Amino acid sequence: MTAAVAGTGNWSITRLAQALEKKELSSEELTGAALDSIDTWEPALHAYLSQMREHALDSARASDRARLADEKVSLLSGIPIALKDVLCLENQPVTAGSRLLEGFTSPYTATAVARLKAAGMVFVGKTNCDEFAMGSSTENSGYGPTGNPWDPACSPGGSSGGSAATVAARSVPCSLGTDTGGSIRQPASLCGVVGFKPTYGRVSRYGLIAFASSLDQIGPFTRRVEDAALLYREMAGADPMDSTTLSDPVEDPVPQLSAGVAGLRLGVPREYMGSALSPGVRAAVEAAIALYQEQGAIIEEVSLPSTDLGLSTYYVIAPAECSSNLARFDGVRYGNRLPSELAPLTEMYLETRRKGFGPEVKRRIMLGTYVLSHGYYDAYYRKAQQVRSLIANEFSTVFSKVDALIAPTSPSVAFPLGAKSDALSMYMCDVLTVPVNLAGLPGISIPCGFEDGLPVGLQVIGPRLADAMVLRVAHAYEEASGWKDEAPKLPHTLTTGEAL
Amino acid sequence: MSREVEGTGAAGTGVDLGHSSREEGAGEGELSLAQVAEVATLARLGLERGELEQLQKELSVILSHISAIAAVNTESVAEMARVGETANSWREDVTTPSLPVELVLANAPARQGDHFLVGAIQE
Repeated sequence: MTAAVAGTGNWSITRLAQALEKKELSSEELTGAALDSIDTWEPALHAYLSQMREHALDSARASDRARLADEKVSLLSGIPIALKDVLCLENQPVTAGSRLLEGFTSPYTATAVARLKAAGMVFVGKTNCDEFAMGSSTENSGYGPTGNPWDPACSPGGSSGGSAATVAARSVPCSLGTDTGGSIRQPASLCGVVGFKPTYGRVSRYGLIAFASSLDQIGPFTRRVEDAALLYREMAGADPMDSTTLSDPVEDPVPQLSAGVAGLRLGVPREYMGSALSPGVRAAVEAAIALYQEQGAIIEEVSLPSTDLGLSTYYVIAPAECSSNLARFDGVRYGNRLPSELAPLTEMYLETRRKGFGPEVKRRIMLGTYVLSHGYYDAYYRKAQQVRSLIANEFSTVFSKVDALIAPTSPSVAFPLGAKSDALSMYMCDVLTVPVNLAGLPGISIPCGFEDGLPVGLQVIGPRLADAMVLRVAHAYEEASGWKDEAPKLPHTLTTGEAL
Repeated sequence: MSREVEGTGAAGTGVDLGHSSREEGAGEGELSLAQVAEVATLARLGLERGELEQLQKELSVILSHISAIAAVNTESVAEMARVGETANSWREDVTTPSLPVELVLANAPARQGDHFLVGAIQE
């Protein structure tokens, strides 16, 4: 590591960009340091499924050349970023954490990724995740789990566990994840970083390997709320390649980030503060609420009575959409076809999918196929779509009274890998995040303290299209609290070279 | 199986699951092994008996949790068919460039000329 890069691990994107602009630091140095840090942490974390050392260094040098030539470059130019391995980048592998897609090369680039590439960002690698983003611990990856930098024996959460872990480890300043039922916010909470899920339809899903299309949304992991705002601003906006993107103009969240919360009405949903919270999570969130009050916010208890129906509704709709989306993985056009010799079509379908998909993906395809089948459709799918309306309507009612909601992100802190062995207890991890996806709202998780040395996350939820408000409310807490500078230490086993 | 669905998944809704499959001892609200096997066939998953038995137990537990929504009064509640207000997204019906054929075929498990090659469709 060169002297210029030493100590920049905790820097914000803005500060790094200023150093790049003043030529105090080159992107090549910054990217090299990121790649070295990734290599150092990998034995403990397994945060990456593929790395792009040469590709990254080439991009970094291109950014440096542009700055040296005094070309007008984006603030984000030369900043390293990692991508969850469900996002396509042309000519690079993408597996979605599935053995079925081992060896697949993206023929094109996702819109969100293309916009960051156009800004000159440097892609360092593809991060580990639960297979097809289905899970809350990264243990469903076909390539083995990821560890949590705060305690590598614990899960980083999921499904975007690798993206959260590598930002928490200070290897890269930012990464991208996807959030279908909490897959950005929950791992951000468990890893002590910022994770932002924009309003549904704000960021194009083109080039994202689909899990549940009415719920999926791409968003950033960062160490600062401001950095999340910068990445969101770059990615958001209509895209002709995704007809669900919104045509409403994108409000720039950056100018109002520091507007504070004085006079804002912040709601605390009583159903989110129920008995399922661990004591440390409750204490940290209550302290955060008190801090908001000190900042001049008006705190109001509100009620979202259908909250406890969120998981049931989600586990009808998400598997239903997944069973349809994953029908494309049949061995015809891509993926590992089985048997390898030319077999009758049906035999190929059955073998390819039986051996290619892991247990959780099969479980969800089965569940989705069942709830969509004749005789059960009305009882499950139609009913769930109605309850989804109820949940969305309750949020709308509450947002007529408050500007944003504050709540815990996850009922507990990071749990040991292997601790949640049955599907239902794993699903419970997302009880406080899925309602936000069902209603299509923006939500963010920011660090708000620790329980037994493991990070606690505070969730801020806003009305549709109030992404800027969510970021502003989150930023006010981040500024008033001191958590953003807390960083995990490199595990003793890695610093001494002992075998893990 | 008497009914076939298009494609490999069961995204459609016109498939009957054989409600009479109670002979394998499933209790009320639980799935029988035959039902699980039929769903697996519809989903083109080719599961083995051990997997089917495991899924029979797991899916029954999950479905019993999910059935909480059955008790909700949703009379006169519209289905949430879309997120937000966007109803339809229109654009001019014009041809735009597609990915080059070579790129599309680059990940093909097997090809013949400019086509994907698969085994016999009819046995």
